[in-house]
Amino acid sequence: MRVVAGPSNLSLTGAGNRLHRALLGATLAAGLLALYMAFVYAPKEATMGDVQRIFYFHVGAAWTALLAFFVVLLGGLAYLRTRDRRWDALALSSAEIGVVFTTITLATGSIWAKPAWGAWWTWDPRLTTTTVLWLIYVSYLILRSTIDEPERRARFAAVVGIVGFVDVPIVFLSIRLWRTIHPVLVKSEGFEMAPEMVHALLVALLACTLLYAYLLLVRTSLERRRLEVEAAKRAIGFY
Amino acid sequence: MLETLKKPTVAISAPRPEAQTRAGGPDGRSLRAFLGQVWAIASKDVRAELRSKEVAGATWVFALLVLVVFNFAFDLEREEMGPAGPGMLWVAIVLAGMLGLNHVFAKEREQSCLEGLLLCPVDRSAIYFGKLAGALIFTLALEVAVLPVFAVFTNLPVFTPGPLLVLLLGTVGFVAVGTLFAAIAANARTREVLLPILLLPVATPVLVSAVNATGLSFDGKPWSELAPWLGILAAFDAIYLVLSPWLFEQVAQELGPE
Amino acid sequence: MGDLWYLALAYGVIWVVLLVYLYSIARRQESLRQEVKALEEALEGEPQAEEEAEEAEPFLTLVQGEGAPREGPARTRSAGRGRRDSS
Repeated sequence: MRVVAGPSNLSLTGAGNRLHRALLGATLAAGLLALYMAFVYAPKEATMGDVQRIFYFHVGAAWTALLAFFVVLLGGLAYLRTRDRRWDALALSSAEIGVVFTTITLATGSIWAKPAWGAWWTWDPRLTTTTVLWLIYVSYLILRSTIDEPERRARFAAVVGIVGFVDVPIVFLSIRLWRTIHPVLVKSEGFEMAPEMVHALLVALLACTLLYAYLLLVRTSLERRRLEVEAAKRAIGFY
Repeated sequence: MLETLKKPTVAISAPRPEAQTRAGGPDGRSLRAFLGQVWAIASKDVRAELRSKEVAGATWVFALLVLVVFNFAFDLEREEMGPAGPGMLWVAIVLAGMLGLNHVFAKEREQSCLEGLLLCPVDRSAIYFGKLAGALIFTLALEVAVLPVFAVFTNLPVFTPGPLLVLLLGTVGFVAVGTLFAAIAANARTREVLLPILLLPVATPVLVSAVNATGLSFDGKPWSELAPWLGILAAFDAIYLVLSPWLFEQVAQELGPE
Repeated sequence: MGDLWYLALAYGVIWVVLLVYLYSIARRQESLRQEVKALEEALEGEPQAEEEAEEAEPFLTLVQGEGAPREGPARTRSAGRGRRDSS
């Protein structure tokens, strides 16, 4: 006796769903490889030492967050065009995961800052822009939590998601200009990247992207299943 | 029309085809009609505000309070007014401006006028521009009222072309996004705090650029130094003046009582 | 070298954040599973035909948006849940 149709892929390990399992496997494989390359393959950095190894997943998380927020934009546009709530499910999931990755970017960036520049926080361009990004998408999630009516919530969230992503380049430019004119860092922040470091970075980017895809699949299928259950309840007459 | 009014949760659909005039179309008459609609909505809001004076006076006093509180919070010496002044001014404008923006759709909502407005054969973007114009007039008037007090407190040269231009560009951008978000927030349970939560992160470029540009112009720096900041402000304004009307049309399909 | 501690902290934070999120997903999955189970139990004893019609309906409603007409099962569900006559 099934209330909701379709196979149950409601599990983290992807029981019963081939794409799910393949993605999880690929993520784990890439993740392990990335960790190996970050810690063993890549050489120790000249001035900073081993602490520099934070860099690989810091950049990976940052890139993935941006990708996630782009997907929020796409999902929002698709919802506005089709009124199909499955696009909204995708957008919500991507926003959540994007906030998770942005949090990781902020935390690792801050933890890097302490040994690198002596302070837990600096208002340097990257950290500042990431903070604003975090705030924009947290406000997206807060907006969603204040609206109960599903169509309205999806529509308003789509609008905010579009405004948010369009804002990203402007935020970046304005803050970079600000820090060009009023620089905060005394020491130079760049470091020479050996070719092995570039390889490690690319693999880390790949691992983070695969992790994002996996999380997106899991979270979106959960959300879609939740929508089906809601619809089933309505059809039965629970509401 | 009466049947539609009896159904509280109907999604308000787009108006009839002949009412969908677009600004800038080849037909001059439709542009005039569009502007007429914008003007009608804006003047309604402005007149309502002039008649009641509820919000205008209160937000002006609030802006002054922000300036005063800043001085208590930071105990600014005369020399520090230069670096701190622009930030002080813009924080006061932003906070007071958001109080005013909350109001843009709040009154409609209270008196259920929003449904009536949406049932009119009016182009949705005309509603947006009308509301924007009203909010802009309101906020610019607020700034005009605050500037003299600010000048007295800080002895900074506010009444010069530089700062005034920055004020104009910054306000337009802030209110453009603010009007859109006010429509969204007006329907939420926690609407007073939701508008700042949504608006402030998105308006960061406006704040950063405006504060920097204002500071530069207070210092008497040449236009060439102001140019990049003004460019960012202008770009923000242009992007959101184009994007927001379309987004407002999307929002309008779900407006009305909860 | 105190610096290595920062490295460990950074990777630790990454793992913790990811695991917390995965845990929250797992928890929501579980509560949804229980909800589905409760629904299925409430429907116990229903004839098979009605169920299949019901399975199609929610999906349609979902895809077409809430404007989709809802007839069929709703009209046979007089009491929502509860016992049905089974002879």
